[in-house]
Amino acid sequence: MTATPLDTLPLSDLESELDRPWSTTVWDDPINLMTYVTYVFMDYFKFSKEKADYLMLLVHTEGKAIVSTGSREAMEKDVAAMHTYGLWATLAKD
Amino acid sequence: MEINPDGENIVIQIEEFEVKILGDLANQLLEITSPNSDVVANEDPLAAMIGIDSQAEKPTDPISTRLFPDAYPDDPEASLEFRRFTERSLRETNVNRAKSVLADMQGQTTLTLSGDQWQHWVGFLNSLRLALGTRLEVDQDTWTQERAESDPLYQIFELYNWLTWMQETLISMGYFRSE
Repeated sequence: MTATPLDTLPLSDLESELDRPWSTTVWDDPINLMTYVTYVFMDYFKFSKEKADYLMLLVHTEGKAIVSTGSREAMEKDVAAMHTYGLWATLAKD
Repeated sequence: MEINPDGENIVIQIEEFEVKILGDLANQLLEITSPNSDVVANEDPLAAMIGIDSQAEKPTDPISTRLFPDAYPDDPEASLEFRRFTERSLRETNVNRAKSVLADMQGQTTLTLSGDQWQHWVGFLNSLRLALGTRLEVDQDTWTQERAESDPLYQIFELYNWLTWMQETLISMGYFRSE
């Protein structure tokens, strides 16, 4: 009998569903320098300059940007790190 | 003050009066960010050791609120719990950065910053700018606005602009130099 996707996938799907519904948002604030925000995204998340600049501009123009998604625990770690850099970050369930 | 790259390092030529100003600001930042020692004394030593502060509360003043923000926008309870697990270590990071900068300036007018020292300086300047900027109520529309010398916040405004120049220069020379 051939295994249907239902036999093999649900558990991992469920796990990733449970695992990834949280996100870290960085909010715009008038004090942090644009170059500093780009540096933080590159330094902590190891994003390329292009991606870091894009997210920084998103924060600047839209007022906020989601910078990471994952488990609640991972997002708490990211938010704590952003606070260490002085960025205004929060986490939420999507 | 002059800031120049030198190989892998950044060299800051600093005047004595500037050391004094930055030192005063560092000490003020230490006052705001040092963990409450009364709380430490009353606390479970194991919890203190792993950085938990079971008595942490949401700050009430705007500067501390900005330096130690809530992590959950719509959930005060989860924010408080997060704070109890993270605020002590965030405070300690700020304290370490300020102390590192103070140590770098000890009796020196030529400071040669390695990568680690550079990071401490940039983070320290950022916390100072958050504190002064919050005090100045900087917002998107007013932050480039001139202030009259008669303005009671004029000196803070001048300091804020100086710190901004210093941080911007350190970042451009230290991180984006190759561009």
